[in-house]
Amino acid sequence: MMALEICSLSKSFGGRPVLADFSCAVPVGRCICLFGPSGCGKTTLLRILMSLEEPDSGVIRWPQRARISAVFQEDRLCPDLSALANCMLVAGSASVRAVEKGGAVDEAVAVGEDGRADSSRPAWLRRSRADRRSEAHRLICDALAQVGLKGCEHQPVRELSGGQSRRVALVRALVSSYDLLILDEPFKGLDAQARQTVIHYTRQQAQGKTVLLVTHDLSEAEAMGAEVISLTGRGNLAHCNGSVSRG
Amino acid sequence: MPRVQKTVRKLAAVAFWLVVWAVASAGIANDLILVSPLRVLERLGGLALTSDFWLTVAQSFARIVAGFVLGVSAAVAAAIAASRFGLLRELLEPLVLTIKSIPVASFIVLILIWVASANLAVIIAFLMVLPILYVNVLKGIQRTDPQLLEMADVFRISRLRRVRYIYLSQVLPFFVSGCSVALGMAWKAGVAAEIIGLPDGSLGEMLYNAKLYLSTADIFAWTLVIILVSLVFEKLFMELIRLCAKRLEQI
Repeated sequence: MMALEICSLSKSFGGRPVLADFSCAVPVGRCICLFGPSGCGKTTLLRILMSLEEPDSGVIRWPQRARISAVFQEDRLCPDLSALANCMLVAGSASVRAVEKGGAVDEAVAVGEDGRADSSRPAWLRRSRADRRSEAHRLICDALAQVGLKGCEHQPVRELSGGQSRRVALVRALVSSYDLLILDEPFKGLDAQARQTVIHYTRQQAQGKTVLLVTHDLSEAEAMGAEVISLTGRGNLAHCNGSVSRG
Repeated sequence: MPRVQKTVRKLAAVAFWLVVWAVASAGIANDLILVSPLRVLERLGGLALTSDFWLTVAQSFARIVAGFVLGVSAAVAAAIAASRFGLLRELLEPLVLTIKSIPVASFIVLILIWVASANLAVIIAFLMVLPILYVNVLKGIQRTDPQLLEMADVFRISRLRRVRYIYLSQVLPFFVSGCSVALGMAWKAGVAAEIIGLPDGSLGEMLYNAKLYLSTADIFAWTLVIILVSLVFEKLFMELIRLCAKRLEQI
């Protein structure tokens, strides 16, 4: 079963083609790495998938109401909010209102310790909004600790270093509810040790989920267990659905 | 610089100018031209002991603050609507420019023809605040980081949460600086309107009477009252905004 089918997608900016007749299919639960030189249309493709850009032509087929989570090329965090609040903003947006609808933090929060969903309990046994929120807080703090941000949870993002902000952006993407996880150079700006920890954590959290990864470093794709799609100069497909291919 | 040291320096600057004022008034030695600070304080003390003084301050305060609050509310609503609808923005632009350019005195005289003098200060304060806040809030909304808005689209962040956590922090600096300027303008123009319209029991009327009876001490005393009331209100209002913003930004 395909999570996503892209058929003959084309996009140009000011007459300069960035994506030319690009087609590809992404099976459910697989991690696919888009690999290619700068300017070959990787980020444009991701922006089209996120509905931030309109393609000139082509079709994208995926299940209705598919939810996307993303790490953008930039961190795109609210600078005045804390690391925790930035994650709560997305963990809560799709959900603190309707927690039972699914997603990483949402599912964990909506289900009690005995595994029963909150919505199946009698009203007096259902946890209050405040309880669910404090549980979401706990889960996000755990996630932040796992990527080496213990103690930074309540710090405004503008006070964090570049590497720390990148990790907050990654945790934010992973705690949100999603069917497709888009990662645009998610590990850039991290030192070798942090990168290893974060890749391990990301792979663990995104297990069984459909992931589209863009990176310039094939070792990252390898560590994520991704299949590589190589793109040439103008977004043409050079190699698809193979194992990690170098060169 | 430590906070205490900063406060001491500020107080020292105020004390310096008070001394300059006292020396100048002693040199001129004519209370009609320049009254001494001590005489002004003495007169202010005398006025503050009467109930009429407090009633006058309260009435003018209510009028000007009502105009200010109405102006802020209308400006914020108009800026939100204008940021959403380009046509409305274009429609409002010449109107806002006109209100900004017309001298306060022209407004006061014109509006006196249409409304009772008791309501004049409310309308004048409103008209002074509206364009300043409208332009500032609109600028804040338009300068909101588009990358954060794209992030909100991708993560399906609700409209209410966008306003609370994305727009608020981006617009707040523009809103605060607008309020700071608008507050000063509202007080100055509001009192000017009262001096021309002369509504009963207003700060403007008291200033006008003081001028009529050549009571320089009263002019200085009432002016000091206006400065103090507007400063206290500005401090309280800004603190209220700060607290509200802090509370709203909590998730």
